[in-house]
Amino acid sequence: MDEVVEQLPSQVVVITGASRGVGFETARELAYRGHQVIATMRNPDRDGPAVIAGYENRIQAIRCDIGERDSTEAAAVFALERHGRIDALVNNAALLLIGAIEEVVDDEMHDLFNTNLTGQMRMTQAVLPAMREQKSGKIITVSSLAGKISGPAFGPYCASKWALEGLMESLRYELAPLGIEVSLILMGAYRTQIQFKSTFLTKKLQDGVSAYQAPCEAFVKGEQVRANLNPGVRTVACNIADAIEFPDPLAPHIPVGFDVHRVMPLRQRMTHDEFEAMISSMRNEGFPGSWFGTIEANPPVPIS
Amino acid sequence: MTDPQVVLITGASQGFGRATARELAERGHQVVATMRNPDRDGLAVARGYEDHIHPARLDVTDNATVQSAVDAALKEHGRIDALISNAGVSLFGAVEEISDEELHHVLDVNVVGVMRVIGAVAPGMRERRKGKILNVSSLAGLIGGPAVGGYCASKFALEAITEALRYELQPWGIQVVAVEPGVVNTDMLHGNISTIAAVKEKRSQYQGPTEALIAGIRASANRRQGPRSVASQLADLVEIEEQLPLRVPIGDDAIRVMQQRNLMTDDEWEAFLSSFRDEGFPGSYFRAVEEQGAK
Repeated sequence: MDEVVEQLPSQVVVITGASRGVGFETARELAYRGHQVIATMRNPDRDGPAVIAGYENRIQAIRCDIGERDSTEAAAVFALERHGRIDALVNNAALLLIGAIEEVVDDEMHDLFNTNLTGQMRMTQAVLPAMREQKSGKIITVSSLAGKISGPAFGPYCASKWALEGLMESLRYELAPLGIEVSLILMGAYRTQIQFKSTFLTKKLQDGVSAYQAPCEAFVKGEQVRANLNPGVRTVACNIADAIEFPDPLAPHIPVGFDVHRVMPLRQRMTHDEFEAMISSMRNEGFPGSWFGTIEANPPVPIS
Repeated sequence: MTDPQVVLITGASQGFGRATARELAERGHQVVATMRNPDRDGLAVARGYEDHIHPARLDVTDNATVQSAVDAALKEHGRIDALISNAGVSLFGAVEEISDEELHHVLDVNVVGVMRVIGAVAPGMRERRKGKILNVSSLAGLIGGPAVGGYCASKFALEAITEALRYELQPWGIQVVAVEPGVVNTDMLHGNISTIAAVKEKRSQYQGPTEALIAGIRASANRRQGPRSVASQLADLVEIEEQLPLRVPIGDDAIRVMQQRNLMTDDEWEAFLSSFRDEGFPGSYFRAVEEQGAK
């Protein structure tokens, strides 16, 4: 795609987690549209060249681990020294954790929250002084349906995304008077690499000793099958780029994906009892059907 | 990953159609990119994707070209997995002053034109018991407003056809969807804006507000994103193997409006829409009426 030459003013955008998936596609979509992108990642030596290929004048790949305050501040300083301003931050870097709540250990929960919640806050805090001075800016945070609904084996991850929703909703009020906009991307089911690493399983599951081994494995396998059938993340990237370019006030949530359009109105119209009955009745492949189906076939064993 | 799909798109010379053809080609699909004048416009649409984009002549108002384009596509590719009915025209002007011919033309392209192509494509899909029909509707298919009545009539009608088709084609495993983009920066809202003769000849009783509305929509389109999100969303719908929804609104304005409209009574909605005074639709119309008064 190269036929539409955008006439909109060039913006300076910082993206976290830009080595792959949504961050990668968004960095390249923004560069295509003529914007300047600071693409941050943990290992730019390894992952940077692919991100900037063909857009060497528009994308800088730099190291940033949102788990460390020095690192997020250095990324903001880099952007400001190079471009003199930061028009938008795309909070994208995130971890996944799958496993039954009973078996999640403190360290796993801490690492998850240190990236998915505190990490997003750190990076946001790092760019805010500049945006406050500019009296303008956009904080776009990538969330998902997991920030709105929950289900078995998804507890820790949903907890981190629900928390992120709460944080960003508050931030919207705090920053509105300063001319800084805050918006969440509510992303549906897309094919990303996050589902295909083994490190997103709890240690108990990785070691094969979970009391919930069978339903968790069925769930993960089902999700991977489904993820393979899902489209890639270009539409998400396009929607984030649109939000950055959008001249009018942004909605608090930007739903992307037809499944989100389907689930959200349903969730909002149903009582919790109705919604729980609906979720519990699902026997589809993937979330949450394969969990319930497996439980039905093999009731959980007590830990001996 | 989805296997390569054969997709026929109408109105592929510009705007959503062209962007979607190129997005699908980028993803490895085979695209029959139909347009009225492929000799003039085809090369530019296919450039860089000559193995994936096949420009073909099709005028949705001319049954013979519809049938021959579909026949040729089936002969060349053996099947059509998805049809994207995108060709459409706009019409700006007050309902009171729309001529029969003007209304017939917008309906002939935006409604009957869609039906003609579906009539040619559906038999093959029914035979294979598989297929997708994606109709490019509009925010104007969900709500009406001043000076766009003719266009809204055509898009409301397209929504009705989409709903009916869903029931009719469902037994053959064919999915039918309407997508509703909001205001997007495309050719339709630039040089090609079609107005009724009364406005063109500057003799409309609604001249001021209609011109203000057109200028407002153009100005807001100029500040908006291009068609890439719409193209990418359409390509997703071609690839997704799950049950598709009836409607897919695209863009901040379309999504918000649909949510709001669904929650409001008619009275609430009318009061809400009438309160607009922003640049663009419909605020610029109401502002002009307020400033200039009705003649």
